[in-house]
Amino acid sequence: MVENSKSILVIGGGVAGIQAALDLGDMGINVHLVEKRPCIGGKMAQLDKTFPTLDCSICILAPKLSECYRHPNITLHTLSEVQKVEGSSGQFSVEIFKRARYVKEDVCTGCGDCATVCPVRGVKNYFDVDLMTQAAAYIPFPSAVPPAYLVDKESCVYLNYGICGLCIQACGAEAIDFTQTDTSLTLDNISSIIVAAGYSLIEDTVPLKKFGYKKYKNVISALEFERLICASGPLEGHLKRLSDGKEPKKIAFLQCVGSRDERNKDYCSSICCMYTTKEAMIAYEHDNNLETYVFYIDMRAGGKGFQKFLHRGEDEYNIKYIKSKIAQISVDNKGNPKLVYENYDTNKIEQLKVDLVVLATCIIPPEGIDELAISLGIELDENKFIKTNPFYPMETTREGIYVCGCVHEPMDIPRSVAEASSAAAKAAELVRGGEF
Amino acid sequence: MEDLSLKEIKTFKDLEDEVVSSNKCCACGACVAYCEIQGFDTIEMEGYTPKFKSDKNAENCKECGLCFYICPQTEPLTDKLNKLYLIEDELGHIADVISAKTTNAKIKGVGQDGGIVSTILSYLFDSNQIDAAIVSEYDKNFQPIPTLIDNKVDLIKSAGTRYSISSNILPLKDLYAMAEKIIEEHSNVYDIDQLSLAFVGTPCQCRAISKMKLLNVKPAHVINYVFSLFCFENFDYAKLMEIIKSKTKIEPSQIKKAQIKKNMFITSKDGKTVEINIKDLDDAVRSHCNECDEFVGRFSDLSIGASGAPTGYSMIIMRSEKAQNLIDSVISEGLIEKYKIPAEQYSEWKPKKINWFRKMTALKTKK
Repeated sequence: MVENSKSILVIGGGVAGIQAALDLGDMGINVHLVEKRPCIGGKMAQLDKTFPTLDCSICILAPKLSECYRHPNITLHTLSEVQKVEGSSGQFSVEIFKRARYVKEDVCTGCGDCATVCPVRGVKNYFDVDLMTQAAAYIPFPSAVPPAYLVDKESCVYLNYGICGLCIQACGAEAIDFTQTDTSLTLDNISSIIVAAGYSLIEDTVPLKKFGYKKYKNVISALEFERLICASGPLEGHLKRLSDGKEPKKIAFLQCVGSRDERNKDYCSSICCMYTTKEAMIAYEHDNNLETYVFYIDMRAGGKGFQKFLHRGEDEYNIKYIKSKIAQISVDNKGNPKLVYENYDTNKIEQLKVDLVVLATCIIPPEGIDELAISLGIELDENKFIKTNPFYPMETTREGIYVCGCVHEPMDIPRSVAEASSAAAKAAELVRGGEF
Repeated sequence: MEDLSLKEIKTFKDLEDEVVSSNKCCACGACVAYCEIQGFDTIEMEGYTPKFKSDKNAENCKECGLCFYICPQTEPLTDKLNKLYLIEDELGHIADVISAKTTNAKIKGVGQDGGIVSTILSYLFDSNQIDAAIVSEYDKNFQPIPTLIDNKVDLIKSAGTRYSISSNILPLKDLYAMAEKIIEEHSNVYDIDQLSLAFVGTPCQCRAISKMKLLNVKPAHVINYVFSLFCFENFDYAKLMEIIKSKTKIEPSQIKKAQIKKNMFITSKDGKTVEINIKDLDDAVRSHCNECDEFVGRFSDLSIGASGAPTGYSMIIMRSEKAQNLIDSVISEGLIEKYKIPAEQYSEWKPKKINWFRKMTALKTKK
């Protein structure tokens, strides 16, 4: 590492942030990777497979997670968020708020004895989209990086009442540390910042009641579907309806839920057409008797091999694409969803009874984007994604701060990775480049 | 930050000193259910007394202090619990009060008064809102056996009031074993934490369950519906049977139904009904009942009992929105029938009933 080198801050530990950090680290530049969750990996770690290759998502991500963790030039700050940014391009000073893990990260062996003995249950886990709950001492998923458990402050009986402490007794490595507190950390000498804060989904902020979401057990979101079909998920990959445990034989995927919608978001969420076909294909691989119906307005398949992917779906995976507008979703007394829709090809009002409905929901900016934009002093566009100039797409409105991935705009994994490398190159200019 | 490590944690030994030895223990079974589900192999229930399994087992005690905290007779968590349940007086938070009876003839035949608890549990099973329920069955000698049931067919066996202690929290110690069975049979449950249970118990037991739910500790974390039964006092089984035998000559195995309406009425299987003066039962009353101030049971979704209801009906106090929705559904499905309040009594009815509950609670507290 060059003496007196400046560091680069990457905000967000999803695939974009990780790629940017790895690129910079490999260039010999010191990187601080800040992630608000207890582990890195973001949404990609939650997916079953990726399109169009149908690779196992965590399988291609996990080596990058490990590399990030081991990399001599990358410092990982999990359970951390950016509070304040001072200074200017080439000379930023950033204050990070770090929440207590209550576990010594470098001592924990990930054995899970603390979780087994913990008396508390019902702690929500973002990783399984609240389909599973955990003990107060938990790890988001078994191969999480950093490979350390954490204790949930709100539900821990020791932290709230001073009793229990069973995890302290159970931990053979003596990794539980309740003397830890939330702290602030100032990083000086930051030459540039890359924002890779990822995204949220519209169901996190808007109740999709008219679609029957959270009302009918057999209407689920696409991310919930990913977890249910994933071998590491609540059903171990054996897709069943949450209402009665029956295997669905007919699944309807509804596109543009919350997107291209004047009442919600008017933009296109970009990845849903592709991931819906992917999800239908995976489901078909699990059960060759499956019939899938995709209700769409337009099928967006612009990337390499994408159009072919859709055709494969129709020809080999029993997917029927119906150009349509959904008018109504209801359920009968057995919980079976019934759709009423306008079929644009036949110009008729039609009905279809299915076993399960999956909603392809709109990508929205991540939680806390407003506060982050204010801390960073950067502008957001009218949809609250980070504002950029189309000719300088990696630059935010503040010099020295760059952006990549879905916080920029909805995009798939290959584009997020490409933007990440691009942002890394731009950010590195301030460390390696000429005068500034 | 407060150094929590120095705080003294009260353990089972303290529970023995402060609760069991001082006759405050209501034999709810919470301490044993928690300790056993954790696999600590330390305490067990012997009759109505929780105790160390042996001196050797006593050494297994992890001194986690949970048993002391969840005990309904200890002080910790009571403030928080009162806030959570919006307790302002001796009757607790009342969202609504009605009187109703079941429309199901079979349940009517075995129910105590309105057959309400059995009917509601039956509905919850049918509508897939619960996977299991904790009820009290009884053996052929009319002794209560707290049981975890996973279907509504078994409900018939648990209908009717048991007039002696039934440690209803105790069956939860076998939750994991039962969960495996339920998950196999009800394929929509994919994880033990996704189970939904209903709990039926006396006010003291409901208080223990509420403390456990406040902390979200196993095995009570799966309980979604808490039904509190009105309780004036409860009895020691052996002592009660002795008194019944001597006063009525009816053997325990011959008892069909027991009911308290001012005095105790024992109906035998061959149709005979004998009255016992309530004062004659005093020797059988459990000592902790004499210090209890809960009549309707304030820490619940629903409080149900006959006191104050017309004959054949039960009173239902709804405390939560969940409870109101539940009763609305059960009424709209025609499973229970609301008592039709005569028009001239309409505005007076609810305040009168609430006053009646206050009177009964005062009577109980005076004891």
